[in-house]
Amino acid sequence: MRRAGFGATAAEVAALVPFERAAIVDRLLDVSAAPADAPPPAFSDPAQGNWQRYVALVQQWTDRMATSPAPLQEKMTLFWHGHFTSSREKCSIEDLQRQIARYRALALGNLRTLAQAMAIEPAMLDYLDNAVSTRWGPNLNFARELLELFLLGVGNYSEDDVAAAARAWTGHTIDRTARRYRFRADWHDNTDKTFMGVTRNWDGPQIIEFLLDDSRTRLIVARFIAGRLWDFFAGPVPAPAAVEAVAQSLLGSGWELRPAVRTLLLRNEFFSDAVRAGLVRTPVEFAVAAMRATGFDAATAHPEWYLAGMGQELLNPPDVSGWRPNAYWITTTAAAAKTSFASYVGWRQRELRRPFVPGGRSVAPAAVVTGALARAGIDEPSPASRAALVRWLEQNRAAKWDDWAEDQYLAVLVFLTPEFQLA
Amino acid sequence: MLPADIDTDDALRHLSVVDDTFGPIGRRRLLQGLGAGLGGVALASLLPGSLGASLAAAAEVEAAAASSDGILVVVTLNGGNDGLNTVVPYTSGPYRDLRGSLAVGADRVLRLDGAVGLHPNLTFLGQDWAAGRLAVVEGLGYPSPDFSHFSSMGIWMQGWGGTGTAGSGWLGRYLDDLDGGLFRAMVIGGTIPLAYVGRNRRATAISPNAGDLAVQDSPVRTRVHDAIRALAATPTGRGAWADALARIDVDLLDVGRTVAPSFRPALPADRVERDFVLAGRLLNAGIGIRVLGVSMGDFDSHAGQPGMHDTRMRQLDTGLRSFFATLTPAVAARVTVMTVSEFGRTPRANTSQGTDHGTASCAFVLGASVTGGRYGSPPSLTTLRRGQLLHTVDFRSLYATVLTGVLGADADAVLGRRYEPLAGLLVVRSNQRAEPAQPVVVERPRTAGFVPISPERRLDTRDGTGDVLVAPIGPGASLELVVAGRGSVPPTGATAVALNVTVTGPSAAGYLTVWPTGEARPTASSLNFVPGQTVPNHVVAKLGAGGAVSFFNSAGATHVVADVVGYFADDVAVGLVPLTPNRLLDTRDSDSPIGPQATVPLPVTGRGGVPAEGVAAVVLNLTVTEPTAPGFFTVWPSGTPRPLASSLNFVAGETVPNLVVAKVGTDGAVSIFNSNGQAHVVADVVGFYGPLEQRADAVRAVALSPSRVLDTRTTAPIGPGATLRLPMLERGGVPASGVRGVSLNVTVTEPSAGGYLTVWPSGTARPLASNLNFRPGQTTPNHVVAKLGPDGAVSIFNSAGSTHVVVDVVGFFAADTNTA
Repeated sequence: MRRAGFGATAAEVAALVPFERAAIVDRLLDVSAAPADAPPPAFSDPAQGNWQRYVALVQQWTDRMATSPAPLQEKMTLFWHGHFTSSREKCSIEDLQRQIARYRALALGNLRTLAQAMAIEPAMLDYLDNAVSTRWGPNLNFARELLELFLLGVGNYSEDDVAAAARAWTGHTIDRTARRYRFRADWHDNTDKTFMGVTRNWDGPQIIEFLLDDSRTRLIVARFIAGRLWDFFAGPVPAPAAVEAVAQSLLGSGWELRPAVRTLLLRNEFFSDAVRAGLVRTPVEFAVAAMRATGFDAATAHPEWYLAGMGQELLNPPDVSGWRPNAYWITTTAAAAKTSFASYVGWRQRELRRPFVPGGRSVAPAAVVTGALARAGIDEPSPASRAALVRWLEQNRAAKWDDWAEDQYLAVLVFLTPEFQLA
Repeated sequence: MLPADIDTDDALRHLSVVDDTFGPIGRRRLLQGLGAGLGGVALASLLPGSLGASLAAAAEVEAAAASSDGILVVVTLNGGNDGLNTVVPYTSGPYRDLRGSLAVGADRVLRLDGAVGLHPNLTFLGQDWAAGRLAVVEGLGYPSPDFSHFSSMGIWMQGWGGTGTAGSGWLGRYLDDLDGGLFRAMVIGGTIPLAYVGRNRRATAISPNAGDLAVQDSPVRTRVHDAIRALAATPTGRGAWADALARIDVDLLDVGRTVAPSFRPALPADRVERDFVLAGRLLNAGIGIRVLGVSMGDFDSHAGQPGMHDTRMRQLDTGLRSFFATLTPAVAARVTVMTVSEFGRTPRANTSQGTDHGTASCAFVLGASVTGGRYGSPPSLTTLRRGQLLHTVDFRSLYATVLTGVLGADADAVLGRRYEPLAGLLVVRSNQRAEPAQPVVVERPRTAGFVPISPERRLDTRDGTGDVLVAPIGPGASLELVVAGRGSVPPTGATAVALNVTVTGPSAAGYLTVWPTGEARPTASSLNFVPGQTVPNHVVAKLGAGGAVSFFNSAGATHVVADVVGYFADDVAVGLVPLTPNRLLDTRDSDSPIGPQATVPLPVTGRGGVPAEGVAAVVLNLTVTEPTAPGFFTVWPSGTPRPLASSLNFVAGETVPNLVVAKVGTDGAVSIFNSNGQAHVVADVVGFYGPLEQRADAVRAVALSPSRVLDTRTTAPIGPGATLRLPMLERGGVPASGVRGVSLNVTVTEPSAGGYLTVWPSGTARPLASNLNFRPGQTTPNHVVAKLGPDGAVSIFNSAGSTHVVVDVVGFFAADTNTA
């Protein structure tokens, strides 16, 4: 649940215990109960500027992550946001909202459909400059990343292929008035190009089709995407057999993502001790898990104030290769932002009189800690973490005038346990 | 393989052909070990233990013991800064043509000199230039450039010249060997770039937003902090990542306690300026920082560049201004700032008012220890590869410069290979530890014996042979070539090498100087050339620091090829026996020129004064005449495979001489190969090398750093039929006595007619031989070995017309003095 979604309380986990692993995964993959997708109200309010709309979009998305009955859909949307990424530094917030909505709709669908849709989303056309790529001046940015970061991976194409793909994608631009994709034949390079050794009058979408169809590239694409999925869900512990199985699922199903993700989530390697201990929660996952544990919505917890400091600002990746895992989140800077976010959530609990464990100071320290850990979804706390929390609670209660601090800092310390910070 | 001699167009075509540089193999090889995401796998492999070991180190404030050490501040310009619009070649026509409306106009730049100017928004840097503390390094890049932000940043951040990929960053590896806790290296920002991640230590990231963290202002907070420390007090039992997560929160408390004062008063609102001011305050705080990283961006100006780049330049300039304004004088005296960026941008503007990912770019180095000026050399705007600039300086040379000059580090170890620092960029600071003064011992120069070898190619800037950049040597630029320990030259013991040096495809008239690395470059030329000419010369070069010799190019850009044909060593009992020149071969006599790809044998032992036995090598003056096509000769020991080397290069119709030292094959002969067309060859033997004990007349060589002993251009040319006497003793390192002969580099320039020069012992009869043939207007060099006359001088005779002559002495021959 932690890996396929954004965390679960002990009670939620208990409800799934009777089911077989496959049945649980099938429930997770069923996203039919997902709520409808519409732009936040701020988007239709002319008084709200870009920044307010950005905040509204991040809040809406983190709320969906925290509350959707289909958290895997949001998780996959986050994956595609990191993979086929775009940034608010270069794109309009309205375009980004549509892009994320598109990724969400296709998150567990067909990769072919998704890749073609991705390429002509206005956000992508702006982000990688294809919107200004013409036959007089093909811009290599999108073509390069399509091959390097999106579908093939470094080392599987030549510089000539990049140039040919860029020419093929010329003319695929944006209608600036209607804010939507537009093909301009007069900008398009309507001549023969040689891509991957094949000379013809390539058009951009045919490049993607070719990569997914050609016997030389389709396996590379499948393994590349499978590898990225494994990294995202399982972490850096390598599992070549599992990745190969996911890749073969993609190929065997005609690029369907749902069975591929199902294959991944059911692999034994996924449940190994090394994998379970091998992934750090990303800042977004950390913040959403804290929201789930406290029941706060984004308007209360304000993850958007802290995500940049933690190193993962939604809709603003560090670069076109998206975010990196694990050690990138283990810095004093990220720790500071995590601490600040946890402290703010703790302060809100005290301010709103919503203590982390009901019953408060009438409950014995050990029982409070047990309740707090369960609420945070830490089902197997280490003795050290448990002891540290109990000892703190005892000392705090012993200080005569400081017992109020229990309401404020209990959740903070739970969030700062290593168990909570791991994915 | 490239032929030994190709013309400029051919060379360019070869340079433009894709080997695997831009193709899959090169990139794949490059990325092995780098990981799937920048540092993703690399960092993953770094954890567990190692990370913890460093970060768990106590965060005590560093002792002030290191208060005089240099501090390096690295400013990373993310996204690929446009070097051409940063240091602008404002007078260049090609620049204006390529850049069109993106060109920064000559009226706007802050002129540094007659060739380049700074972007107009770099006013603070302009002041630093005027104050002589801004160094501009041009042409920075690396071989086989990569156009991916990711890959190129990885290359720059790793800064690795050893085998494989490092998986760690250059500053991190410096940090690995450094004592001290959390604050030795710090980066401003949320994540730690790979550059600052070592094999077992890494920098500490400090966020400009982190001001109020870890303030212990109440018992409540103290208890919370104690609880956080307790969470990390024992291993979690949940693996390395969990342990690291627990520990980082403790580090945070330690860091917070130390850096909190630097956040007061409030930092500027502008993000870039804020980072620079915070950097300055952290340095002022005296917490033991040696390396501090600041980054800014985005410089990836694919579209709409003018506004974007102007803004970035202003932000950089303002940031640096604020940074230096923040520093206390004592700290400022220790700080050197340098900029880096993963690549430059395409010289040609795209149609989106932008530029795309490029190659070579520039960097700034500034601070109190910097000797202001231009370093490296600007990449050519006319000689491009696939439309991209050819870099002229490896960025790791800049790293080596600051590693040694600022940090006092072992740059070779950090970079995995020797990169020559940019000479003179950083002054030795007065408070750096000085080497104890060594008493100066005047010694008589040691003489050396000669070991001839079959020619071995050691340098070819056209293909990178010699671990050099695949790029011509630019104007005023030099490169270092390590000779000792390579091929047949032993790592120790060799004092000088005999080289056949060829320039090919020079873009302008100029000269090449070859001299011992580490010594001041002498005013002397080893080889002169005019545009487009291919010119060879025999050069005896003393080895300098690290067993290397340096090559300097005076003007234009030219490719250089060097073949080692022998070396001199003290413990070798092989000496030179000079002979009166004697013609061994003249194919004109039988009217049988050497055909294309043909080899002729030339027996040498037992002929022309060369004995039948005990001959290691012969010294030939080889002249090509009437060649029908451009080509080259190779001379090598008979009976051995023909090496890839050239002894003499020529173009059609030219008469070209060269002194050739050729090892003799077991059958007593050498082979002469002609690459192209039909060419006549004339071979005069002028000496041989043989065992000293067998030849009382053999002499040993002493190589000198080249020194000019004659330049008629400052006086008057030598007229037709005239002889000039040139005293040699006590000049240019030649001693007053015991000298049997000298090794000279003689160059004819501006001859009014075709003719030849003869050099022979003064006071003796002039032999009928030529050392150097020339045509009107042609500049021709040749190496000349000449005995001295009884008066310690040589005579120089000019056959026709009037010509200027330039003579550099590069060595002398003496009786074996080592045992005296």
